[in-house]
Amino acid sequence: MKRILTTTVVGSHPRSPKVVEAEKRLKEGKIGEEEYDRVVKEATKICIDDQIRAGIDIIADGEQRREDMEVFFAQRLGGFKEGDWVRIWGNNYYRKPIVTGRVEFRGPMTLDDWRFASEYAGNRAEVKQMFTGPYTMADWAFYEAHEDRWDLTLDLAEALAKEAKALDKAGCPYIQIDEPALCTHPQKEEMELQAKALEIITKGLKAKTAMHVCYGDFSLLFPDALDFKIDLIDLEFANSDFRTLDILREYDFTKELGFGVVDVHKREVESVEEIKKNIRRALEFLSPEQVYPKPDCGLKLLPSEELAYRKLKAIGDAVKELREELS
Amino acid sequence: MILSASFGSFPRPDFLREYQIKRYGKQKRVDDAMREGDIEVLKRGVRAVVEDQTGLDIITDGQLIWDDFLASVATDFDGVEMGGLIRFYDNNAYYRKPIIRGEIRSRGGWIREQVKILREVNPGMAIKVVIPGPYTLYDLSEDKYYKDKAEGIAAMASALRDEIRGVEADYVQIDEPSLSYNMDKDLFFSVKEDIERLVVEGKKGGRRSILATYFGDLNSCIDELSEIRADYIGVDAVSFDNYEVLAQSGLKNVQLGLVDARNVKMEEEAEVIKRIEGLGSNNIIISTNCGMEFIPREYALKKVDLLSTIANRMGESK
Ligand SMILES: [Zn+2]
Repeated sequence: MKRILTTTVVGSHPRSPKVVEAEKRLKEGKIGEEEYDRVVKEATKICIDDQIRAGIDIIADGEQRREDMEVFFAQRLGGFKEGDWVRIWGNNYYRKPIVTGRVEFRGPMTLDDWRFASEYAGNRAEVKQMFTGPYTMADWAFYEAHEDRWDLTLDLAEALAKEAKALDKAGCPYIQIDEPALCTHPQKEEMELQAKALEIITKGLKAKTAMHVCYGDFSLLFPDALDFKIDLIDLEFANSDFRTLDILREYDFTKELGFGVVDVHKREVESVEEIKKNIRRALEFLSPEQVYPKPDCGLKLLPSEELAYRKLKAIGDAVKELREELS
Repeated sequence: MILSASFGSFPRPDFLREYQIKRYGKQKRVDDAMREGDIEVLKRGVRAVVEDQTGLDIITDGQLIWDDFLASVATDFDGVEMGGLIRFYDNNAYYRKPIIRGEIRSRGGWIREQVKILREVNPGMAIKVVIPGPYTLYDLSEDKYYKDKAEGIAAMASALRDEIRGVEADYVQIDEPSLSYNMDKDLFFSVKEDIERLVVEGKKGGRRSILATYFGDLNSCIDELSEIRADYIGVDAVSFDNYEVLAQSGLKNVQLGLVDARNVKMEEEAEVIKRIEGLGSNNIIISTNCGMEFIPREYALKKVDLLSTIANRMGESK
């Protein structure tokens, strides 16, 4: 029998204070790569145990190694250089990377972490792996050698296809492409670009593929995304009061849906009842096999690992009750 | 005349960035705090960005203490408080959403203070002051007070008039990205007079007014913009095919954003000159398409040089 209401996560967990501290010491040269790696692995184990205890079916490694979802990959791909400070808001700045030449895949960037997580989880849960998609990587970087953002996005897609291939070959069952920037540009042609990019990345993969998008104008996504070469579309819903359901309802939604039922920008934990009620709203026009309940977005910004666990547990509990009621 | 101008914001000097982070933390509002005790530091910062803009005909103070574009004036208004963070159009940058809870009134004076500092630091140059326009400011706010949008925009416009009244700048730039990004034409026509009155206020005392749009598709708003009697209409000719739309529109008095302030790639000088000439107008200010804060200082300096070289070259050939 096919699993119904498969629970999952978007990927990141709050970064363990121990990892943050170890990273600082690594940069200062006070510890070596080996010691840093050991701290990351210990923190990863906690992320995994928490997700499993909460009742999540498809888990992730918690992205303990990623300080920033753009910079992490920019540091590992050829063609990028570190940029100078650019302000985001208030007194918050980041070093926006600059692409100075053609993008070059130098070797798997997330494979070791997936392997470790997968081995540690054993038969307790399936483990997915996610990486920042070409559209977002291009949008959040400067470029000087590429013709335009299209050229850069497709160049990145070629490089990231190799990452996907490496994960696929190693047996990773779910590969997720994170594209938070996708719905921020109003031009309709942007979706043509993303269709091309996804086709490049997912071509020939055995793994199930997903694309995560959050906090944008989702009306831009459809109907184009229904034809994207991916199996699952993962969106944020709770933060925008589930208004996106009204957009989806208008189409014959044949893909699977990652359904955000808890708001990662809110500190209160959603009640089991509330989560059940919202899942039922999706079930009005989607089958329970199609719907994957999960948090809106990565849990990284939540203030504690404990709160992250409670949010996940609420999803796990809600789905457990619903499964019984539906069977 | 082809003049070169700084658009508005400028990357903050290292010392100021570090000072602001250290003194106020990452989350605290800088605008209020700097207002109180740190005028000398601010002056040093303004001096540095004035130097960075050497070569341009029209300069700004770089908006060094703006938390964000809306807070710059909204924190100077009664009736408005600042809410949560919202994405600034299609940028990876955020602003705090103003929430309108009562009658909007300018406490007047903070913009004026900032212009005074810029004047004092640099007595000779033509200077520009920038404010958000009422349509945009309202579009990006949440209104819990006025009975309809037109009334809210009118109130914003009136408060903004108070902000710029008598300010000793040479150019007053009213930023209206929302007019090009998502213009509601019915609403635009019902508040057009309020926008006009603000533009007229901007012209008083021999100042010149610029109504600046950016990030949006000019196709959606060019006819409406052409009706506004500002001295210059600001056009982002980098995004979309806006240059083509502009060239066909016959609009002649333009602050032309042909240099991209959202990417570090350098434009070809000859190509930019060709496009300016293609408009067949002699009343153009060349600038970046938006504020330069989106790129690192190293590249902002290169783009300043490019603009100034182009304006000089076009001046010589006349
Ligand atoms: Zn997200």
